[in-house]
Amino acid sequence: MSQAGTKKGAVSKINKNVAINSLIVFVVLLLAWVAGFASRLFAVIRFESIIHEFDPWFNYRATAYMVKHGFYNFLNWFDERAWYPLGRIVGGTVYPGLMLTSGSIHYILHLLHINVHIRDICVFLAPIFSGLTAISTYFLTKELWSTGAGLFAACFIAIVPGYISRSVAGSYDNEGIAIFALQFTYFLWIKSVKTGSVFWAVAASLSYFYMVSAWGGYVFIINLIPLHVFVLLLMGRFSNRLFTSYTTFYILGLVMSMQIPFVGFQPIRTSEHMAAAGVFALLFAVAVLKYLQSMLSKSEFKSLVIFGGLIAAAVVFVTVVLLTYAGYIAPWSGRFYSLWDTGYAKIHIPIIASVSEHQPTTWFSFFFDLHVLIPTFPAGLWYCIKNVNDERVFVILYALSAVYFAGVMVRLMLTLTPVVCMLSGVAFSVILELFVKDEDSNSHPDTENDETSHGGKRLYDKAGKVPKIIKHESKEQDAIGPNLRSIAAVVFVLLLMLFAVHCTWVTSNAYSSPSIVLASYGSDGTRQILDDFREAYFWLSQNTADDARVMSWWDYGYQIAGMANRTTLVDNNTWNNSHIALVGKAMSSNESAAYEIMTALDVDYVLVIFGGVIGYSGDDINKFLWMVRIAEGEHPKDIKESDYFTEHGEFRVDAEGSPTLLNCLMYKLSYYKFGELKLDYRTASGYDRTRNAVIGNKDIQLTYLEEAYTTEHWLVRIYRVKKPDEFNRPRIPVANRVIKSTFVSKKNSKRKKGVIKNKPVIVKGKKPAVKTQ
Amino acid sequence: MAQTNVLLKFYNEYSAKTSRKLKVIDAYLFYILLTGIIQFIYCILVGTFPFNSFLSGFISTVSCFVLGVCLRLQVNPENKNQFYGISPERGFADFIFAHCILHLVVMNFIG
Amino acid sequence: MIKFLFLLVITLFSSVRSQGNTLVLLDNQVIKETHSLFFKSLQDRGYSLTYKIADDASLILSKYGEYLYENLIIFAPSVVEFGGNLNVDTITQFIDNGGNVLIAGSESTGDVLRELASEVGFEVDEEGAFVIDHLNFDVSDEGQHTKLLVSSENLIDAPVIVGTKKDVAPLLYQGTGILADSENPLVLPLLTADSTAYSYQPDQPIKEYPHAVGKDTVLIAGLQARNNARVVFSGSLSFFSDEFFTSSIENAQNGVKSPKSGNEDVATAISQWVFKEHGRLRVKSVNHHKASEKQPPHDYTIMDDVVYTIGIEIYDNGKWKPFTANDVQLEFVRIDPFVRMTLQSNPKGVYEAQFKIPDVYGVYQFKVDYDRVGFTRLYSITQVSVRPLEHTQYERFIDCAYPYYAGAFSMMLGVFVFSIVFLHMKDDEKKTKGE
Repeated sequence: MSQAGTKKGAVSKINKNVAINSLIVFVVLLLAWVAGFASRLFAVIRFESIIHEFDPWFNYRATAYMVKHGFYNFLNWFDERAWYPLGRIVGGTVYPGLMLTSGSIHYILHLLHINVHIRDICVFLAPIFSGLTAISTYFLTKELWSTGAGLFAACFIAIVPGYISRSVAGSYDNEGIAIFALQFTYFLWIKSVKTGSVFWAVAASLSYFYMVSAWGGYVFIINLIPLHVFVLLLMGRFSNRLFTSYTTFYILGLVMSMQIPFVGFQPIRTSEHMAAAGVFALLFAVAVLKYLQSMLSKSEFKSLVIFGGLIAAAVVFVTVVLLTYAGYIAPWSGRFYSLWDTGYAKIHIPIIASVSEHQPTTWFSFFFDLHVLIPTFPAGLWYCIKNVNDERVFVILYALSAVYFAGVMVRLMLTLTPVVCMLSGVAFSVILELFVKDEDSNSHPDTENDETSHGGKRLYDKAGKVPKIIKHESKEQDAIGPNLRSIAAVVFVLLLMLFAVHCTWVTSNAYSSPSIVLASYGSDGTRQILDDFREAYFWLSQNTADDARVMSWWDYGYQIAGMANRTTLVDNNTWNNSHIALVGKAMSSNESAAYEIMTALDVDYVLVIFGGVIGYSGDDINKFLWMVRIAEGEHPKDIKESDYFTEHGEFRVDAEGSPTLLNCLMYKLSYYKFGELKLDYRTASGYDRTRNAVIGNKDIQLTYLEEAYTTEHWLVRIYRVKKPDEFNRPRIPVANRVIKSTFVSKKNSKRKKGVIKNKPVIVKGKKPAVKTQ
Repeated sequence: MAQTNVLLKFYNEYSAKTSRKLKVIDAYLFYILLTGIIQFIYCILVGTFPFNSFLSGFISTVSCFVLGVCLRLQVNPENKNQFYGISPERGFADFIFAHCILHLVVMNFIG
Repeated sequence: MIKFLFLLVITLFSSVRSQGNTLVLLDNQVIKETHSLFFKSLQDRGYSLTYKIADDASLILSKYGEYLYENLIIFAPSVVEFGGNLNVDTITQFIDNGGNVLIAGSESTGDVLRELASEVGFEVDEEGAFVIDHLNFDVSDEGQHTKLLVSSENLIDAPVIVGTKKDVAPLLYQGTGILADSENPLVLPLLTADSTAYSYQPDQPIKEYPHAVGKDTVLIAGLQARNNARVVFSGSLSFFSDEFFTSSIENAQNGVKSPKSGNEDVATAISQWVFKEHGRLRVKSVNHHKASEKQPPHDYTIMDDVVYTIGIEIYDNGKWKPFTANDVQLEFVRIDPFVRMTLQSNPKGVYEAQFKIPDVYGVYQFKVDYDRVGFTRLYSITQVSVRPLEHTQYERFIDCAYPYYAGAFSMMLGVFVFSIVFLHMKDDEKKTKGE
């Protein structure tokens, strides 16, 4: 451990110790970085250096645009190819931190004449930042507990699947860099609370600024830190250090966060940010009171405090409520509500609920993502609560809130992961100190000394709890025999090894699929690559007009824009619910109603994802109910969810499915000609492998669309929308005709002569009969 | 009466206890407070139309105030034990550093 | 001399405009003679006519994917089935590819023509049915009141198709009635019967309600398809005959007389329309730019003043000439039209509009959709994107914000002054301490 003992005499020895210690720290961190980087490369090695999933495609496209056209043009970028015909102001609707980061790396590398393609930077950005995350986690944990805990935490965070899931190579998304910014902001914040230095507070606000520019999750910081301050106030731990650090951090963070065009005036307008402002005011009030207290006598002060405090609280509350009602402060956004009430999104905002990331987390995924850290992290938490001080209050709050949020949304597992790593690091280091390190009894007093001197030097550890506890622990240790110790040590090493194995396994199996290239394993273990997505997008880019407009469900908007470079109607930036609902309505209406919408929107092609052939479960039919729900939200008259269920309330695609479903556009486009396809000998034709059913409508006729392209495994199907002038003539269908005729052609390949009624038969030598008129 | 007495007492205490240096800071803070109040009143009268200008103007005064208060706390010898390792000089350097960043940002925001 | 002759030949050729190949399908060769006036007028206007009997086994419309003819005349009412490659499908394809078709039926219209009529939105009344009008028939009628005299008032109100109807004498008509969907905007009733007419078999007692009664009985129906191909279906072949062209007329009931029927004028006008000699519009040029500039910009910014011009031409006697009208409208559309205005025309056939782009960004279309009866549809779409203000385009220094500027700068100044004072004070204090 990096400490300078207070014993006299052995200065050189101490220096040596320090050197060795810092070498160990350095080596461990380096190894953590390398290990973290390496384990994120599965995707690149298995597949190729490619951007993954959905959002990263947009980020990549935006980055490429920025590198090509410069930052200012990027800020002013009006993307007319997205959200046709509304367009999207990209500069004002993205968190530009990610693009700026990779753009500046690209710029610097090019200044050094290292010509790296921007795509490679984008692909490898997240793994590189995971190393930085490990380091900042180390620093944060070190501030909170000790160097050993920090090293543990750094190692954990480097390989923990919960974080790897968002930062594998190619997953070029905001979260990749945001977790680093998050941890670093917290580290600087803790540092500034500890020292009370304006410098650290300014640094924290700068780091916060970076976080704001990178990810919408900055709201977590701007609520957690005020919460920390608030709880400290409640605990009577107000200090001038707290005052300087928080006020400086808040006011600078506020003005800086408003520099991001996407955030704009939100920090003073929305309720999410009001807690921070409230705590700011409260802190000021407390500071003034304290100051007065120092000046005035107790009795005078008491009356002032109680009276003034109550009034101040009431005033703040009333103004916030009034402003909210008057519309100056926007009420909490829907995404936020869904955090409190998990059922809220399902009822009110189907578009949020429709994203699988926004579903509540299952217990299984907690274990899957965190493994051994889950049982050990409460231990760390317990240690922190037991040895509480200013900054440990912070980590306790962090842990509790993150656990709650992670339980609500799968996606927020990401914010839980760092704190779990930190606390498990604490737990492991404490346990290790107990069982392993104490074998050489020399070092034990060292730590104890360190801890006490640590506590003694800095006055904020009020009640001298730390020494007491350590004494208590050391009593316990005495009871442990060497055998038990070694067994425990072996068990722990085994646990850690298991953890490492699990992490690697999860990473390689669950989180390293680029999801635009699928892999399937045959019965003999051979791997098949299904590259249907890129096949389809490439087809689009090569065979359609440059300004062709492609309608698809919003999930595929970014990919179409990024890979096929075609205009899309809706994409993953789900800012306009009514536009999405319009697309949902088109997908869930019958063909002629859909055609009206599609002509109004100038749609040229429709793209659907169909997994029935290969059993891919993430296809459009499985997402279809969300389309219906979203459409119903905006067009309740035309679309009713209940129409798509059978009488028993089931969603079935087979013959018992509801007629509305069997005739809607999405069904028709997915299963067009599928009824003729026989997948293997055992199943009937038109057998859908994803839903394990024979489809109900095998004879699908398309009037207004025609099949343009279907990929090898039928995964992506593209249809062309016919233009109005292709319905050239007002043909009267046979059924509608007033005058019925039964006309059957008698012509065939041999007899090509036609027939004329009353045709004069020419008999040689006779005068032809007179033709009737 | 009681209040005025309290205030009077407070004033006396203040004049007696506070060092000159702190008084200078207090004067500075008072000046900032005045500017802030003027801006706020102006905003109420004229309306928040160039909202970013108002915000940057107002926040710059608020943050100057905050930084001033922080400096005052750090410089105050009474608080020495709370700010371990921060000398008044260090505090002042931090103060200037924070101001540099603040004004850069404010200038960016105001136009 | 030879040169002179040669020149003469050239001038002769050039004076006869080539109007394209036309295939004429006939029941029999006799029709060629009985309708010679009509065919002659076509030939005079430069059409090269190819006569074929409708059941000819060698009939063919296209060769190697290219059409041999631009126009098709079917004067073979009793054809039940075409010979050769021709059938309903090939003819509808011909229409879908822009070919024009003139069909004449009769009371014994054959099945294939009925099918064809249904494909383009009409129906021909049952076999043997005539249009009968007991009040308006010619004196030469043979007692069944089927040789009608139709007032020119019943022509469609479109001079482009049928010429000016005031000058036209009553029309002679003998044939079957046509049912047309009156709600379909593409189908045009070129000539309807009088309100006293109906369509039924004249030699049978009336048992059922007739399929067409009064003005709903269409005599000549026209269609301009969405691709501007034109189809005319006449219920009467004799409408185009020499006999009807030349005969004098007298209404048997009210005695209105005329030395010559209006058939020739109307038939010529209709043939001119159906073969697109008349009513053909095209967009010559489209231009749009900001009010202060000349070239179209890459994209517009909201609230820009924009100038849109469109040149429209009409086909007239073999030449494209400027088209003038005062009812051409422009729409500026993003799903819904945001701006709709009438374009200002000038004699050169250039229409101009000037307006301010609305304060909504997005991808817009300049849309001119000029669809008038008889004219080809003029449809021009130009897509432009309208972007929001760039960050440099906002107002920079706003007057009422000056106090804030002053505030911010005074803060800076304040820091500066304060630092100097503060540092000096420190020195003072140190000095005093030192002393």
